[in-house]
Amino acid sequence: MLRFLVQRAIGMVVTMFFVSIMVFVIMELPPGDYADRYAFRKFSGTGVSVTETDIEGIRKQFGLDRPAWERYLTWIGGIVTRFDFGPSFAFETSANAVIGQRAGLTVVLLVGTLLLTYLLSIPIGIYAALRRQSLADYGLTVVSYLGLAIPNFMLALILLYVSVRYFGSTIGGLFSPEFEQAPWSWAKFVDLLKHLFVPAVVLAWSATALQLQTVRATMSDELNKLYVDAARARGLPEWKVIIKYPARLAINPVVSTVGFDANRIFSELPIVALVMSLPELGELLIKSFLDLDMYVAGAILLMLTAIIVFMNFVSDVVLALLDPRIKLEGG
Amino acid sequence: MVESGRERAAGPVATGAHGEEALRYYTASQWQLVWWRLRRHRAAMVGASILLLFAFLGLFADFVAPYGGTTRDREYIYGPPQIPRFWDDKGFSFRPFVYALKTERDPVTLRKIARIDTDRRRYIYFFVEGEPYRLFGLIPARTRLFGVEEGKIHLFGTDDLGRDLFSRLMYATGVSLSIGVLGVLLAAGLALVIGGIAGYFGGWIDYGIQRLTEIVRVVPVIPLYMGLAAAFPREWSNIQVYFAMTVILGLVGWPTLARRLRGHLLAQRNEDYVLAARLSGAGSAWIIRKHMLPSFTSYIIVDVVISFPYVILSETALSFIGLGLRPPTISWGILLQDAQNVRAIEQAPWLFLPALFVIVAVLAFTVLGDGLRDAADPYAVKKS
Amino acid sequence: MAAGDALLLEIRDLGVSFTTDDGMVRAVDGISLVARRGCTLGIVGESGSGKSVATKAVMRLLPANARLDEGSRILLHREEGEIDIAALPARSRELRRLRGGDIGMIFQEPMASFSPVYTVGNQMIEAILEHRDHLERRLGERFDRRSAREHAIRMLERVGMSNPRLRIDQYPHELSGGMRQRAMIAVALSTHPSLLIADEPTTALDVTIQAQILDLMLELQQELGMAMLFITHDMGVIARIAEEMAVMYLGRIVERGPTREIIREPAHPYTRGLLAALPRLDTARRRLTPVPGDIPSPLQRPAGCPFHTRCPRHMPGLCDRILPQDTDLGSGRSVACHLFGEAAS
Repeated sequence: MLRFLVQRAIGMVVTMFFVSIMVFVIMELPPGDYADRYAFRKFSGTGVSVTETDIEGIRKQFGLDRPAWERYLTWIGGIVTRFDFGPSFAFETSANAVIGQRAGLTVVLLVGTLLLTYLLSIPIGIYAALRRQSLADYGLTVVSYLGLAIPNFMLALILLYVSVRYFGSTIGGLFSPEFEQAPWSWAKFVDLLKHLFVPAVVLAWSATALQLQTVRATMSDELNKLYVDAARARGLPEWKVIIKYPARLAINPVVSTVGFDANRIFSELPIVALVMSLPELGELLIKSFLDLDMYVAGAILLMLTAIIVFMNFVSDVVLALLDPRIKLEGG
Repeated sequence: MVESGRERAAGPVATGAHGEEALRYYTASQWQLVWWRLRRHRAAMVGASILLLFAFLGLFADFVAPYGGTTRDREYIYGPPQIPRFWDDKGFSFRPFVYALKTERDPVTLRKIARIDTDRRRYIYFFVEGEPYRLFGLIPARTRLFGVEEGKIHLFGTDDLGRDLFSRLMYATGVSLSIGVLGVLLAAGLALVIGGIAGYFGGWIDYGIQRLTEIVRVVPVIPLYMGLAAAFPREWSNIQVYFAMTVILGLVGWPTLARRLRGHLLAQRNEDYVLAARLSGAGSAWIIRKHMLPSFTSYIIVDVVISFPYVILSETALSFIGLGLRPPTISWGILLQDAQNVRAIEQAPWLFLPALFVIVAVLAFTVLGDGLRDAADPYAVKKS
Repeated sequence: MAAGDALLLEIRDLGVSFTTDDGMVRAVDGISLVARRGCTLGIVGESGSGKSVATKAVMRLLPANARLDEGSRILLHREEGEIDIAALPARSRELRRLRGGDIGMIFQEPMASFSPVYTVGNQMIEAILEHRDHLERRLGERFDRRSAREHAIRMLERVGMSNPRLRIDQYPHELSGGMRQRAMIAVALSTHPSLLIADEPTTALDVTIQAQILDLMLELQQELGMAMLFITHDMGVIARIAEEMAVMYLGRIVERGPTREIIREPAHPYTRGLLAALPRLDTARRRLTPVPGDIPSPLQRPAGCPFHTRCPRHMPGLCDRILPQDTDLGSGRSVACHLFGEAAS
């Protein structure tokens, strides 16, 4: 087991190394460099004329005159050793400060969405497999088709509209106005949960639709396996047969795709956050890409990917624990 | 029901009472079989019809749309959809009509507002002369599918600048679908080439390419698109942005496709029939061309169709947040930018009609993909 | 198989139909069978003859689209009295007590009949604990978790597993095919059933292991005094294990009687065909004669005798019109064939 863990952990680090290179390339992609944009931002409209030497100075100040690999090493070195993601010129502070609380909120939203997805898709998928070709099953199929087809920002807008129209309150943002400035309390926490619930539903929508189909398909396959009949032939009660045997195996593909789900959720997060005005990483990512605030964008991209890679690791480990056929020693 | 599923599936056909049909069945080519099975898949056929209709609307957008994409109707800003009618209090008419507008001043704000004038009808005529355009950007033409004699008609209403939403939606359909097609084709091409290289050389090249696809796949897709799209220089022309978008969609799309293709390839390679062909002395090239590719093309097509919705949704999402195509290019995502907040829905719910097109297109691609997958499965003899 | 042997299982007019997309499929068409205590009844037939469906019906393991005929009776004669399995509600406690309690079952694929994610012991102990009351009556011992484990280990030892204390905590994929089938037998017998249904238990195994498993089953049968219902398509296996046999074709029993008599002198043309298709060591160079043609689809059952489409002695005008009834041949044998009928014309 230890060897398995170490092996997977090394794999995780290697993947992150390559991802960091890719993120760095993306950061370098936009035309012009950091100094140009910094100078433009700082001095445009102030009437101060900026000369090439000024920009050269800024370039030196940020070490932009050095070759790319050196800059990469400084950047990644800062992250690894000091957890320092570099400056944010748009906010004139460090990327860390800009990201700050948003990271925690993003993780809370991710975990909440995943929990909601699995709590819905696993039992419903199993039920649909047991009642195949019933009206309920067809209904669920239609719903999950819609789940894949309705863009989530659309769903977010509809829910916002409903809440404004019929409940007279907006569910956008993180807190109701009365809690905005209030110190932390139980009531404020409940208010936060209320506001997080709707984005979680929106984000879980398509993931649930997808997982529902997976669970249903696996469960249908497993139900036809001989070992189910064998368990019945041993005289077990039907519910025990279902839960202990096919249902137990039907969650394996769900576990193996936790990382994929996280990827999907992070993919949808920015747009949903934009529509629902949630102060989390995805929304900041859009802003920083639009402003070409590349250190912040790079930091967010790196963080989101790191979370996904970690989720993959967790899913590998859990799967190995769930399924004895997976050899713990093998690569 | 009795012993094994495959035996059962073959049974009735093998002993089929309808000899002629059985003969037709056995002599049919693979594509005929796929087509027959697909034709029986009602949902897939509906999906295909819708997509054909969309493709027609997009291709002939200039002809179908009554006005140009940026033409403004200052009389009718934020105007609701005008629904064609056949009768009203004044009686029945074979020629559909909409009501004319009259301009009044709001008694309080003194702003000019458009009111529906139910006293005056505007009849709809087909194949009318309208604004000049160039069909496919080449052939100069003036004929539009429909229009009204005086004033204007806005089937889907207008936006904040008084631009006709129906017309804009037609242009957007062409742009969004074409970008989807180009993006998917590029992704499929890349997947085939890279997957082919990996499969052909095997060994460490295969290993390296697999690691690479894994790394691309682990980064969240839309943020990755955003990162690449952010690099477009502001001064790029719309055409440049358009092609850059397809390149990005292709670049990010290929690893998923390549992975699936590689999976199919490996599975096929281990099938008994390949071994059998090899044992009878067939060469590798022969086996690949004669045995593996035919069983493989259907998978490729299915995969390509299934990946369409993702590409279309990605384009929509990117343009929606302002990192994809840019106005004055019109795409579904660009149109939806107008519907970004709750106020828009309250004031002008018709601005959401583009979303309906997105949903219908994605659904159509999904059911068509599902139908194709079922139809292409050679063992699904009896499943319709 | 003396006439005095006590009845254990009595199947009367069992009919099973399946509703499929292509219409009704009649898989079992009114069969009657009798199994006696301590004896083995073999059922032979090709794939699609309905033999598996018939035995699954005894355990009520048929899928949801299957339907038993109104008049079907599956009577189990127990010490407490007889019970009609066909009439039990699908989820009743009585049915569960029978499954794995009075009736044990082993399946064709030893790999597929264990869940891969639990140990062999887990799946054994679960069955023992489920049938605590039944075992208390049988053995006079009430099992708890620990003693159930001991009982399971004893059973594994009894079916010839080496090192049962280790094996019990292993997963199915860690055992060989023969070992798995032994484990499966141990599971089925751990509750001391009075009837064991074996659905082609040796088909998926190597020939040498097949022989071992057959010997083991015969040995255990004698030791535990149980009856066996043994399904196979292999005449050789039947000859070895069953005192009495029934030959099934397209959902009907075409011939039945003491195994030895039937093999020495088969009456029905189909039984003859099956025996002629069997390789024999004593006449090494003779060509094997397969039964010509394929079994017809149960969707399109031939009229008259189901076998007439392939029968070498088919009598036009009779066999393709009239369904032959059972004809008593004496000494417990009967055959359903017009060749033996009292001129059904």
